Amino acid sequence: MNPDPVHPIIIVAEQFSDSKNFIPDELLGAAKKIQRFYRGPVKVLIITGDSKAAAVKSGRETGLDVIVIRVPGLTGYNGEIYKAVFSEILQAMHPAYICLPHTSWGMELAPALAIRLNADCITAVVNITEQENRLLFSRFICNDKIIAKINSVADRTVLTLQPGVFTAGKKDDTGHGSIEIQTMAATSRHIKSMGITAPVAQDTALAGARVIVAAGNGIENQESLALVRHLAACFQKAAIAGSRIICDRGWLGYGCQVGVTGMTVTPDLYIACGISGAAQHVSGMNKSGYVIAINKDPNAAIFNATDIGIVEDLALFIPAFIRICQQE
Amino acid sequence: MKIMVCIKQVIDSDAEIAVDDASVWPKTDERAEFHINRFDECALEEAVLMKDAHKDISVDVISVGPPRVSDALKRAMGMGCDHAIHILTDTEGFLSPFVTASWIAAMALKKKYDLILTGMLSEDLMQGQVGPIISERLGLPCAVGIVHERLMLPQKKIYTEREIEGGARQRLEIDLPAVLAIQTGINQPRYPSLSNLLKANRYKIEIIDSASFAHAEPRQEVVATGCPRKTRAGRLLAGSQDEKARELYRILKKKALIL
Repeated sequence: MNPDPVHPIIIVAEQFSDSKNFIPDELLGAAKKIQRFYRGPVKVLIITGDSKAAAVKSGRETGLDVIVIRVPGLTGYNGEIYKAVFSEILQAMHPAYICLPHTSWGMELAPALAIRLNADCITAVVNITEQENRLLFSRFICNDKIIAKINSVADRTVLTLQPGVFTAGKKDDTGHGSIEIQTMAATSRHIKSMGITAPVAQDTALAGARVIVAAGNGIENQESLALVRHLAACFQKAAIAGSRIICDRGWLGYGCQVGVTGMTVTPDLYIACGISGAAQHVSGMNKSGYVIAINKDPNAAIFNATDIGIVEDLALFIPAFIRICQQE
Repeated sequence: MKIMVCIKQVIDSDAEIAVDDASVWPKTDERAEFHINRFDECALEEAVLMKDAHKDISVDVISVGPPRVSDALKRAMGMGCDHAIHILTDTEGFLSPFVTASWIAAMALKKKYDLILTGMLSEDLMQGQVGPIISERLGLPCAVGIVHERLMLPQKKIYTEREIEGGARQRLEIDLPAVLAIQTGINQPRYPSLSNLLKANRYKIEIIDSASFAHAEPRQEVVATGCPRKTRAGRLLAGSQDEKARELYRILKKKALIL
């Protein structure tokens, strides 16, 4: 960390007409957390396309000093353009910390920006603490089983913040931050954006289910899916789902995938069978009413996100449970 | 056309992991099990598929790590790679993505590849940085989260689709040479046949001592590791299997979650 705290903490955001990926509230929360230990001013950079109105409005709501970067013709994320534009502007701002969202564009951009800015990069940060005058950035490792606290030893650090974990920073409508608009011409020479393909229509069985029984890597073979189906049959309005790895293998369709890259579900009861509990999956089911996990690994991360945990072999436990259901 | 695939041998995260207090990093003793990072396995498969579909493609595989990493490289050879490079380190423990990527980039600079593939993140460190850093070091375009690709050899381009939020895909045409970080689901990695594994075992891996590279000063350090906080009670049921099954049934009945 720089001993002389005059360098800004900068939030990097994007805003296009379709604004669903714009999450500066949480970035603001994270930046303010950094500010508790490092008293640099928080500033906001927002990249946008032809129309600057939405970005100016979002920027003004933060009450902070904002630079809106208008790139004519830009309609969405392009790695080459983002890298060129942000590295140029950030270089001139001499930031200490740069905060990006850990989203598809943030995770691609952050390490590259760090190289251009001669900075360190720490991704998927879930907490920020201070110890002996050092800022420590917590992040998960090993399938989210372990949390590691990382210290940057560079003067400048680029961070990506895991969505959904930082409390939204309070916006200050009364703040008197300045809004500066910079128009920058930038073209991509080596990456041509060809547009976005919308996701394939999702199976809606999950959305209406009261009970979801989900399979993870721990089911080991495709035949074991039958067990999961039998377990689901013990309940009314039940559906089966899978973690990413199960859908990647083609054992279940992607419409059945629960997690960041799949569906977010909120059934009354969620039963996780052989699911390790990576944040990728958990963020798609952690608002369920009641969560049960069955896994033979007592240290599986899923047990941190469940009400009831059962450390057993699925192949033996599920038939035992079904027998009891039938007896009762 | 020359392709390089960067792979990492990772500790099996589904097995029990102990943390070494001295190194604040998962223990890699004789009990630890290792495999090729799943994302990298997909990158390997994708490279081998390109080689199968086009003439005159050679695939090099590269990995950074201690001597145990040679097992992963041999498996990659068994999957169909043509040449294996091992950047040998003498220690276990945390190696920052910046250092790993700097070494690989230095190696790639000499070998002049047309396409470099990595997995989009490692199952152990989960930082997802090596691909983007290599691309910056080499001044090449980069795309992360690739779920589909098609070589456009006459145009010296590659068409790709990268996964973005909510299962949507961003379509890109990228000039070669380029760096692509592969997402799982793009393919089903093959199991190398026994005869190919035996052949791979006899293959001589190119070993480069990591000390031979210009010093890359790490920019980060791991200060502590621990268990994540519980977000729910996580009460583990006790007793025999049947007792647990009965207890679970009782709880569900009481909560009216089962009829």
